[in-house]
Amino acid sequence: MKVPLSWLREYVDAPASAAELAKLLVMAGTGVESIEGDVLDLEITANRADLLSMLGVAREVGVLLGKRVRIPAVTLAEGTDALGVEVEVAEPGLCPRYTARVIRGVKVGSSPAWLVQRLESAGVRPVNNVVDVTNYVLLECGQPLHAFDANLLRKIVVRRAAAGEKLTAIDGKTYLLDRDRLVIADAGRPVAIAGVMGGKESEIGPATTEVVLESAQFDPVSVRRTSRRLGLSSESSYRFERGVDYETVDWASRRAAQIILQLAGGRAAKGSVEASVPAPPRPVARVRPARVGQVLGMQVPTPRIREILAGLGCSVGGTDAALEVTAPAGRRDLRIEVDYIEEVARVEGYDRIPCDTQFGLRVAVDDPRDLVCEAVRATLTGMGAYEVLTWSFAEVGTPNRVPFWSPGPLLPLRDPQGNVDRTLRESLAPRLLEVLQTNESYREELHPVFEVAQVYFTDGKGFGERAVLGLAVPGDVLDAKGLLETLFRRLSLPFEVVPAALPFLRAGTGAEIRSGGMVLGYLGSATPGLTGLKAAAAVAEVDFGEIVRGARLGTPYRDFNRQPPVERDLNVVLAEGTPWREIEAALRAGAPAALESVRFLSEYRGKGVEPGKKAVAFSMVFRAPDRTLTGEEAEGAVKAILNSLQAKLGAALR
Amino acid sequence: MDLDAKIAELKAAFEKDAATVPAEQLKSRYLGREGRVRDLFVLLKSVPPEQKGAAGQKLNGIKAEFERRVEELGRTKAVAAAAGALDLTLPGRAPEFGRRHPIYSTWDAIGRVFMKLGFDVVYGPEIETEANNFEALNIPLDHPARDGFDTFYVEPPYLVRSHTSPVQIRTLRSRKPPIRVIAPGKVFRPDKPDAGHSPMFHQVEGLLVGPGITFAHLKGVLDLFAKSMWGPATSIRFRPSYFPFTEPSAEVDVSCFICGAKGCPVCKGSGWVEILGSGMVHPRVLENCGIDPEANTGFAFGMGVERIAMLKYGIPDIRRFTENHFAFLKQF
Repeated sequence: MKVPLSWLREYVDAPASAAELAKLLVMAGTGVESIEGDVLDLEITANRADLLSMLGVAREVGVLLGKRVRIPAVTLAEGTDALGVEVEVAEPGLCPRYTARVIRGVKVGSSPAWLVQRLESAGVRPVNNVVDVTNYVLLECGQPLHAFDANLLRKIVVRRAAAGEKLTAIDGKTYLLDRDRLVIADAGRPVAIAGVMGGKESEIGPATTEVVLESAQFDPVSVRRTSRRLGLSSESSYRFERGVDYETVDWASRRAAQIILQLAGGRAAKGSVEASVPAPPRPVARVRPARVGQVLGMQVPTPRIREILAGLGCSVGGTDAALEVTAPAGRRDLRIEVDYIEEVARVEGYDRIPCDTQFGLRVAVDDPRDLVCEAVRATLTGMGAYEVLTWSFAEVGTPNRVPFWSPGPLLPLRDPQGNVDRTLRESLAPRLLEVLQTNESYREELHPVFEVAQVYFTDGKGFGERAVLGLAVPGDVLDAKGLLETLFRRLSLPFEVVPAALPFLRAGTGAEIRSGGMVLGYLGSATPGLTGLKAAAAVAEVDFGEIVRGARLGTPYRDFNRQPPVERDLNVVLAEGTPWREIEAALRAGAPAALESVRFLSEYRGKGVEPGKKAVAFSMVFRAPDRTLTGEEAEGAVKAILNSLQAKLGAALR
Repeated sequence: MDLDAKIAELKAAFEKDAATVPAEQLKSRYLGREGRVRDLFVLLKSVPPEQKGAAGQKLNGIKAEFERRVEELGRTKAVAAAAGALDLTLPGRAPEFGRRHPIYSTWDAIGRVFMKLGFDVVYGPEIETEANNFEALNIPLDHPARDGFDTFYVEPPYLVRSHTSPVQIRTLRSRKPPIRVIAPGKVFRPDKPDAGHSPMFHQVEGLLVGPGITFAHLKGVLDLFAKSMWGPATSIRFRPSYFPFTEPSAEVDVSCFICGAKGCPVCKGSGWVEILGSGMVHPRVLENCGIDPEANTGFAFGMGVERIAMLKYGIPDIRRFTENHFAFLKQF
């Protein structure tokens, strides 16, 4: 809200400069968006509807500086004519107070320069003297007013719109209304959308001579819903949504009528018509000065608390142990004790509250998820992989589905307008491949990328999410598998890779990652349907919760063999299509206990190896637990292994 | 000629040769089976028996000395030869290492500070209910306070959380005071992406609830946090604000760590940088979670990880974090 300093000074002795005023307000909780000349643009928080006016800001400045606020005296000279207008409020729940005054014989024209200048400085476009006065009083005291051309208005009905009713508002647009929109109507048709905007037809124009001046209080929720539904917001709706003060309704009406008489002439009919529920009682709160200290951690003397509250316009009774505080008009945010504790802190200044670090010693408990995640990050980045951060949603219509974690439908993300442009992701793979693709298009050297993030699903009854470790690796499946092998070794988590047909992976490359009979995830080469990447890439996803459950970060020490190892390499020729897993199983089956480990070295096909066969080289380490192995023992072991390979797989020494 | 003179002569010859002859040749010339030391040993035969012991010792001494010198020369020459072939200005054979994403590093850095202060790390789901995201936090439906919380819905009442504060609700319901936790995580808002906005970002929520916890403790904790993150000279400033789930509420600024609070573009000349929102947990929130607000008080705070990372590294555009260019990631 724009507040010109010169206007504000009419009501309170404000600080000399806009910058000083800004500092004062900022440190009391009202943000300042900008300062232009002597005009401050204030950011008023949603709880402070009372600050949406010059007088409201003046009261705040008055409290903070201990200055008196000058409220304009209203001296409306009413005439003797009858009002000639009836009001019926059909929905008192949505309109607790409605008042109307009538002014006859006005001469509509332009406003005087001072008024035009004030409205413009506050960012409001001048229209004509009558409309400008309603806007002026709105800005002055925060109470929205509306002036109707009375010629068409003999009976005012505040009611719900009928379904299908329409109204062309003063912005020139026609709005379709329904039962949930409150309207001001004449005997037949709506003439205004209550609290939001008046109608074009009853607008004040050069021909207007008789004015009906509306000042009312509408239900904040109703105005808010209507404003949002119609996509129509105004200075009035903004204030009604936040709540206007019951008692200011009449003051504003008289104040505006008085100024209209001054600027547009005419005479006010006698009195006003009012249709209202009784004024609600102001809330009274019990405020214990001791509690102020308990919440703030700073003792504020009781007389000072009384002084601050009185300065805010509260009436303060009760005892020193428990004050009874009644909120001032307009402060709808002051209801319970803590509301007043905040006021005391705010006026006293947050900077006066000390820093207290005596809140007790406590040892934080490590979450296993954090420990494992740290090990995952350290291991993968240690191997050259980059951690990335990708969107948890996909654009609607993204064709690359990876329904591994759930076969269910994608979950929509609806924005406040109800549009669904995005869906929550079911898999990390597409976004990770997208990262490689982006970098490929920037001609970057490609590196493996990974992320631990949620994937989302529905089981038909509810919605769920699962933390997943995702990897995208330039190269083939074995490049991805190698990273996982080292990672899982770091986590002491045994796993195996079992070929499986997964439709989103290249045929023959897909596999499930299993541990203890449970499927933890998958890996495989990306299909062209999954990525536009030119380079080959493999993807893998593993259930992060299962990694956390299975990982052992602090395994106990085992004594190790100190005897010298004997190493032997073998190169055997056997049938093409014999998987390494079978070769290893066959050689282990024939090996003596002294075989400590086997390591695959290479595969060879081609010259020197007959078609339909392949040569496989591997290296073995033999070691006895208690003595140095002799060369003869090692040779014997190799022979036994060769025999086993020959018997089981028809392998021959190359 | 006596033996001593011959030894001296041999030594002189050795030193002369050592300067020019390669170690291998030197070895065979002096120490070989037909070498010159051997020749001297032959002379031992003609030494009188009573002097043989002393002469033998002298000869063994010279032999040992030559052996040592030959080995030494061999070593020096090998190094010299290798030095000629080795180009130490070539790049080393360096294994590649990857990088952590700056958002997660920042998240960890924030977490580490609070863990030192005894805060457990807790997590909540990203798909939340309207009740946890709004109502239990004292943010009523159809209230202007919701203006700041535009939200993606999955299917009412389910939504993706627009802040990490619902983890406060879950924690207050599942733990008994004293409660001391932080809750980092992803949050979502239907904002159009620009330099300062992103539909997905990260927050770290903090919560400390128990008997006797005051606003002064909130200031104490955040002062320690700021000094730990940005150095002991950092100071903080609390400004009143409004959040429906805290009262009194405060925005917290830190003295600008870019310019040392002198005024720069980052702090827009003010010397202060806004980093988080905070306040005393609203008694209604405690009540909603079954905690007696008379017996317990507490504070909560929430900060944006992206904002803190942008300030920390001087990154001007929030979109850099989700583009994942290696050229960007490599810098952290």
